[in-house]
Amino acid sequence: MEAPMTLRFWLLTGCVYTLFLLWMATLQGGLIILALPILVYLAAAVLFAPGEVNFQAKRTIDMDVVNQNAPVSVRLNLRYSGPHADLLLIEDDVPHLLKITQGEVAQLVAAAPGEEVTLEYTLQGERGHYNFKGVRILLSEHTGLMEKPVYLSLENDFRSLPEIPRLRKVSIRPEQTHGFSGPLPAHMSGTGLDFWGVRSYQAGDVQRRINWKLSSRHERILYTNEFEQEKFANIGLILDARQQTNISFQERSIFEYSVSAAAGLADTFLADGHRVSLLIYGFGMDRVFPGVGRLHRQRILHALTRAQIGSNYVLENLNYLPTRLFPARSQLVIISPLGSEDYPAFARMRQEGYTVLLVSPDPLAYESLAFKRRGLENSLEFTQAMQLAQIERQVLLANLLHLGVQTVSWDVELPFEQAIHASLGRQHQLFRTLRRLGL
Amino acid sequence: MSLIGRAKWFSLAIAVILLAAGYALAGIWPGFLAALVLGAIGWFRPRPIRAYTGTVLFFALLGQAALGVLSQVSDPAMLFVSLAALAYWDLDAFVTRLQRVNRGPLTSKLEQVHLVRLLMILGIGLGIGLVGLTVRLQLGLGTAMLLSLIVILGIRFGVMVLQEKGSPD
Repeated sequence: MEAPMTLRFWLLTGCVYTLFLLWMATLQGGLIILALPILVYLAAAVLFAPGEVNFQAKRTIDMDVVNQNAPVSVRLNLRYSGPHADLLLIEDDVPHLLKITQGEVAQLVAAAPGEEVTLEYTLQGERGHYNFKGVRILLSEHTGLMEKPVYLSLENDFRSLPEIPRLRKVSIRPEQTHGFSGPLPAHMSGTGLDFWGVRSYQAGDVQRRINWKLSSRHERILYTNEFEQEKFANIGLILDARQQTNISFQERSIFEYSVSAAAGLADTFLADGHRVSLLIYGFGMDRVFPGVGRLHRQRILHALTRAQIGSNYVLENLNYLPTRLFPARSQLVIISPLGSEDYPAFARMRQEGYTVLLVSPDPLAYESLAFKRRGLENSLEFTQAMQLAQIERQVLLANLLHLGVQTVSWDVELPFEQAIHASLGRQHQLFRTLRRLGL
Repeated sequence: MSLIGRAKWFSLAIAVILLAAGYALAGIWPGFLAALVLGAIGWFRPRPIRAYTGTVLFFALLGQAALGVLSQVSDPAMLFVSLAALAYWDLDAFVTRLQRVNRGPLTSKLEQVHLVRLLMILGIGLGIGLVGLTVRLQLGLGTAMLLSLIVILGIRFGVMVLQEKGSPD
């Protein structure tokens, strides 16, 4: 058996030896008398020292996948077999980012052979994939001079999904749509709901589609109404997880807002029937291949759950974004706080024929919030720096707009839905006008 | 305050009072004052040594008891000081261990079992100590040398164990 003596044991032993040496030096018998109770104490510790033990443990988590900050109940059962243990400190090794809201994760008990100990607690956590590794057990006798630590490997995990904002339909206009019917106007006539135009009647046209009003104005010619065909699109979501663009304040990063926006957009696009893929661009490139349906929604949410900010010299700007991963002329939705050196990447994407929508959680508004909380928002340095940064960002966003990139600058204090519908509504009108003018 | 907390303060008070009284009766007033200072340290738990107050006080009390023996202060009183200081250190460590978990229904029972076990150890220690106070042994040179050898070998063993614990393997 491993000698489980603690520092206190050695301190006491040293103490006894010191008294003994003093006695030998001075021949004062009283010094030995002082050492006797300590010797008895040490002997008791050795006598009751924990021996070989065996544990069987089972941890039950009531849900494998939960929403962010939703309560999760955990139950840990530990069956002890071995000699009687004076003191058994059982502590579940809970991942450190989780908050315990109810119950106990540690318990101190005296265990008899065959006895079962149960820990029940409730916890909640921010977005993430949490792995429980095991249970820490510390066996000791009452004096605490002999301790035997045991780490019982017991793996469980659960995912706390990101917050998914509910969005009304997000209107996008990709250059190219695909195959079957879907929610997007396909810029061509066919079966649909929106009026597209009229053409002369052809044999076989359904009678109820004849435009009687127009036909009545012409002799011997009938006109048929045409409707705009609606199809689905390929949408590539690109989540910027680069460390240099995602600022943090009080352990919360603006990246969390980006993740939430990506989850909301993926949810909405998939609900509309589009084919959606995801690329997380940070330390590496985590990718979810294009797909549709509920199962695919889970795949994307799980990828977003484990998304982390990372720094990689190779991927330090968006120029290295592998756009070839996305179908030609498809819709790209980039969720990024945006860096000043990212403009060329957008220009390249537009040149390659992609329709680009940029959703940019405003890092300046986020930083300003942080300064306000510290009471520094009125300092001259902060005001001037903020003004310069705002000008730089506005110029960058205006340049992107000129490139034909739809931009949504999101002040994270406002709900995402409000930001996206306000921005896209205005820009659709602008793009429609430009198209009409042939620009 | 819990049963074990009360017992801890009680043992500290006993140790300090007996130590102070022993030095006062022997007329050694610096020792008396030092005992009071130790009591004050235990009561106020100064921030720099707060985490180690139990250990610091135990060794200080025991050290002063040893000095008391060397200064011809009453041996039985110093034995009681040694017992009370040991009880204080033990209970302080136990309270620290209890603080790692929240109090539950089992905690009171554990406290009671711990106190019983401690009282038994102290009782045996006291008994042996009192016997030691009454018995006078004359040690010959050979016995003294044998004891010295045991001490030296014991120290050597302790150092070896410490070195093994400290080695990276």
